[in-house]
Amino acid sequence: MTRLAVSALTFLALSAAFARPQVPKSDPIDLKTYAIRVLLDFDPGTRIDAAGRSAVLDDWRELTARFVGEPWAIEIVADLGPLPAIPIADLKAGDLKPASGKADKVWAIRVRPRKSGFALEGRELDVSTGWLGEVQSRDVAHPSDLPRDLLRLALAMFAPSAEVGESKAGGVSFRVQGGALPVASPLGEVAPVGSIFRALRVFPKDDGSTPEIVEVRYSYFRVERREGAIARCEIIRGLGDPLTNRYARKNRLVALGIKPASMPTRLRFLLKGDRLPAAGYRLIGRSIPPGPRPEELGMTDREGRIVLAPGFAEGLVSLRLLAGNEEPIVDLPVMPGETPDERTIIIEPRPLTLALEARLDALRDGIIDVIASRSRFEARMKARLDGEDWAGLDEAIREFRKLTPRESFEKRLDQIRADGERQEAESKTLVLTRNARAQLDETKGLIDRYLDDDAIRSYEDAAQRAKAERARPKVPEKGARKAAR
Amino acid sequence: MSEIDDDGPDELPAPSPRRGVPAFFGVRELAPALPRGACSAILSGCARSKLRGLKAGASSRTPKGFAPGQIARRVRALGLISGIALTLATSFASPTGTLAQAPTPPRPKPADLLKSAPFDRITLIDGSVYDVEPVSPRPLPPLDPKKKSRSLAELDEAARKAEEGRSRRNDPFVRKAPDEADQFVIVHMIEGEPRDFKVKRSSIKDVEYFDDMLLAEGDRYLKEGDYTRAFERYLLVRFRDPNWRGLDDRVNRLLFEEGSAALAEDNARGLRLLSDLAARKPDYPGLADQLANSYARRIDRAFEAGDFLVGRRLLRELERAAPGHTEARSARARFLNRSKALLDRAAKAPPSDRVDLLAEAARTWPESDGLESAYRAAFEAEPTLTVAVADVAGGVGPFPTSPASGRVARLLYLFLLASDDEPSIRGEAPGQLLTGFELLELGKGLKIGIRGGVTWSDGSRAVSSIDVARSLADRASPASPGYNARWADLLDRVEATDEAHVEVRLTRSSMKPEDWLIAPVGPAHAAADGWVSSVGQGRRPVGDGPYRWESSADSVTLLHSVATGPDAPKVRRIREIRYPNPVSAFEALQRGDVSLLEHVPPDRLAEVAKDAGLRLGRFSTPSVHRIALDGRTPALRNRKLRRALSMAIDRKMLLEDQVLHHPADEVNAVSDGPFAKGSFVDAADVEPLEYRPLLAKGLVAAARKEMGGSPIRLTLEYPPSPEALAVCPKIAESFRLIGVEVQLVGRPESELEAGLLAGRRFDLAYRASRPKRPLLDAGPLLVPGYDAPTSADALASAASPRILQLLIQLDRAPETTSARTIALQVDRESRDELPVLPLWQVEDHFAWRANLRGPAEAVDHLYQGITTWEVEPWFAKDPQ
Repeated sequence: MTRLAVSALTFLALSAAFARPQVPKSDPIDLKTYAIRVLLDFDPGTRIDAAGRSAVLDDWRELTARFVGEPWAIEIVADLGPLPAIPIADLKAGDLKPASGKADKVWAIRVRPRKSGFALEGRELDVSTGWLGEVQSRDVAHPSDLPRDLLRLALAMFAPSAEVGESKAGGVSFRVQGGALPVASPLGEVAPVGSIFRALRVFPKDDGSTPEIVEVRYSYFRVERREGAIARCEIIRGLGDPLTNRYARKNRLVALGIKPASMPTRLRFLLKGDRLPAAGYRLIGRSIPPGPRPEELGMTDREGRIVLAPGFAEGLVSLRLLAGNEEPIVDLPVMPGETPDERTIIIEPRPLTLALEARLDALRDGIIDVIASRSRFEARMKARLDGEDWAGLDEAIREFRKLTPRESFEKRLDQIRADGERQEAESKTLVLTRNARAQLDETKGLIDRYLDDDAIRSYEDAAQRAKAERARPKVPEKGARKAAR
Repeated sequence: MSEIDDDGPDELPAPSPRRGVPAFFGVRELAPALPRGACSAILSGCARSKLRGLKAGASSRTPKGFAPGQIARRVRALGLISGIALTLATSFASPTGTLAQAPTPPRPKPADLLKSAPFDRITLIDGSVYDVEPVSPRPLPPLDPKKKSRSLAELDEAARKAEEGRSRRNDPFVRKAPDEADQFVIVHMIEGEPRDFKVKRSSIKDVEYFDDMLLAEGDRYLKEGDYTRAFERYLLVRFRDPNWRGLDDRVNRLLFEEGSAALAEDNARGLRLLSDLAARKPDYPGLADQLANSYARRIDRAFEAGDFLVGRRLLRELERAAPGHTEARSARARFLNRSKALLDRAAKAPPSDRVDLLAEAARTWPESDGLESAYRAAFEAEPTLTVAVADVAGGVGPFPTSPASGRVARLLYLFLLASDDEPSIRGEAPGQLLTGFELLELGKGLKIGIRGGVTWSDGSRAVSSIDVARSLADRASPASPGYNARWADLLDRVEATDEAHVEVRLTRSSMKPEDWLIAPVGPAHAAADGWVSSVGQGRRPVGDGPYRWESSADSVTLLHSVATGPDAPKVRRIREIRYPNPVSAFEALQRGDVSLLEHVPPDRLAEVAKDAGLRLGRFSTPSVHRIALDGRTPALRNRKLRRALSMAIDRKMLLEDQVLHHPADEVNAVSDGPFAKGSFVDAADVEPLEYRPLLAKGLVAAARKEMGGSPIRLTLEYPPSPEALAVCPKIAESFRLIGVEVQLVGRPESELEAGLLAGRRFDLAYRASRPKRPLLDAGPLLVPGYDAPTSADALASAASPRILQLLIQLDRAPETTSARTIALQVDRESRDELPVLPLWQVEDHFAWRANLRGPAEAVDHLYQGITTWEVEPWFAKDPQ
């Protein structure tokens, strides 16, 4: 009996084990294709009939296969839902969610007529995060160019997804969805070197409803190198630490690709404290990685606002707000057109620093003037010396000595520095910023290098020697002495 | 040839040219070919024979067989023959010179007689020509033509007769009249040795005097049309001898020809020359017609240009120079007819136009019959003030955009607040709408009381709180022409609480909120520009001030008062006239064409002071002159370049030499910053701006290097004010010398200022203004488009971002003390930051004729107190 029971139990266990349904093993993210559902709306004004549309789509799919390949699995959706009735710029994530199904991405694209040719507009919904990308647009000169421009639009809209890995040595690793899949051409590469990602923090809801997605602002990740499916990224930090996990709630960090959009970038700067607008501040921009020279983008208006036109930069750009003539107030990276909303940034005005730098500028002007005058006088003294014009040399030396002496500038510079330190101590705010200190050091260097008195002293010595020489009584020649005897 | 030794010329008895003794004794005297010895021998022989003849005559002893003169004659003949033989022999023996008395070829005359030493050219009777120093007397007395033309035989016969009648030498009882033909003339040769000779007058066939040569040369030049050279020759003759024969006629001819030729190109000069001729010789043939035609053309031009005073003066000159000429009569008639036509038109014209027409008639011909009485009558009905202005108001309305429109706005509209003084703020000052003013909520609210009983000029209704509310709201609306960015930033909301009160809410407390109320108020029922369309009258600005706008043309604005009652302005009409330049405006005042001049050029102040018919007034605030910079021009953002431009301007020299024409003083002085000297925001410790052109040049080179090496080219826009006209070309030249190319662009003042205030782009602009409220005016003073809408991007025009931020801080200052501190900081830092290029400050003056009574000597604006002014009829008459 006991043997039988054991056998029966064993048989039952084995049966249960074999009866459990087989759970398919999921693909790793880097091998996962992007399932993309495309809602392509042709405005009636384009006058492209069904056959034409079909041809366009066929050509486009052929191009995507040729240039992208495996990473994209495109499905054209016939039912456009509410898309035709809503301008692309006004779309919300909820408008496209119903059409998503099990896809990873939903692309809403509209073709509409222009004066000559067509205009393409599109936005991408990332289904897993619910993030709706910004409007991308392209102009199409000729109907035959539609498939090609659709491809370009798709490439602009497409935002690769990635899992955020470990961060070390100032960088972070991403595992990019589809990153390990073979691509049909370099054009179709998912997250090549130079790609930019933004970070999204996903807060799942306990009730399983749509999680809350919070964008990590002013911080980006730039792919520095690829190691197979892993993308090693540089962190481009704006405000704060984007990878911090100091959150009470459970959350996970995901990365989503980002590209420049065809929309103005709206910024507003307010002063810390009274939140008055930061009016009259200059904004300069430099591409990331750094380009040849920064470019002045404009000045904040009386409301502290500045609007940067679409296309003001071709990629991620570092914006720097300057106060006064040259004092950097804030640096922040921005992707052009990444949001239609106005971004508000609070800044520290630093009035004491600006006043100090104005004094430094005036001091530097004076030093430069004296340097110019000195060089002129030195040239004159040299000429007088070479020509043995001792009276002229004395005159030039006198004029030289009337110039503001080096000590006076040193004293003023020290006073400025001391005033800055005192103000720091009194106000308990930073006055001698890095820029201010650099300017102080540069001015000091100017004094040390160009207001050196070695040259004038040598001319004075020469003048003294010549004077002494002239004053010495002349000793007659030996022959003449004999004759005198 | 007779030699002259050191003791003086030998005075040899002239061999009588009788009995075959030819005159070649004179020739011989000048014949340089005869050797010295031969001459002596010959002349000695002649002398001896003569002596014998004299002795023979004296002793009355004659050899037997001879008649008393026969022996002497025979001796002379013998001497003559031997002399001839000797001369012939000598000439054949001598390698040079011939006895043949062929005339010496004259040396060519100098190319330029002016540069040569004076000389005369004498031609002897044998044809030889010699250049000698000018003879004396000049001209030589003419010979008896009969004597001169005698042949040798006749001369011989005359000599014989003279011999017969010859008295004893030194016979005291016989005084023989000197024979001029026998007079000797001392001549000094130009070349050769010896030089001094004497020649018988009768031996001289002709003398070409240097003066005649000059005249002849002058005639040639005159014929060629080279009047200057001709004049030089005549002038030299005149210098040598003003009475030289023929000189006067030639001068007359020169004046006539040159004057006639000049008429085409330089009419005034041509007339001057012809007038000179008229003074010398009024009846010169053709002169009267020439003068008359020329004057007539000038009179026509003056007439067409409306310069009747000049035209009448020319007419008087014509009538003096060519009395009764048809051209003179015709020109006079033209003036008279025009004046009469205007008189006739005025008689039928409405009263508002009558004065202008009669004034024009008086300008044309003040002596017209009945004109003066008609003018006085019309003027008494419509007393009219004519004002010469720099520019007429381009856009008339309640939102002035230029000094001209601001000036007119004070006549057309009542300001909400007339001034920031205490009586005005309390509502006690006349000429404003505000009756009371109260600060609420710690300065973030205002309660304003509005005066009742004021009606809009279209008669629609009384001025009320809705008009004030609308005006205040409009100035915060970017679409309104009166938009002010600072007010828009400050205003939260405005509400008309009742007919007579307005409440204003501000976004923050402001240091002097009442300053924002010193502005005109327009009607709420008007369009955005303050104009109203009405049936039968078209569009016109509707105001509530003492005057109504009547019309505006290119250069004239007419304003009219319809008020009645004891407080109505006595000056019923105002005509503002723009003159093309400050000088013509000033001359219009002097002539009496206008009664009031808005701006007296600084260099004409002394003239006004000397003229008993003129009065001088001044504006209480000096005008601050500067060159505004547009920071949107990349080059002007460069600090080194701004410093270079500043150092290139010699402010003291320009101010004293070009503007004032006298040394600077306390009020008229070089500026060291943007604010007027002595104002409460003028920092005392600011060092003067230096003039260092050499350093400026170096800074420009450094700036160019920083900016990539391209040439720096800028434009400098300027108004036609006397100061700007005087200095802008010189400033442009100074900039050019340091390596910055500047193009000058002149613009009417209204157009320039309105564009700058609207935020238009520019490079450099000459500006002058009288900032009365520096705390409020600092922003627009340093950044022209400071109050322009955001769309103009005018804040970016601040050349110094540092100063811009200080200005914004100044705007936000909650009270006056902190505002003053910031303003002083602006003044100090502006010296080095150079948001503008400060130039100088000048006390501005205006002037009026004595027929206008009422203007004060020191005013804030031109028409201050105009409702109490009186003007009397007056027009200039011609001197009798």
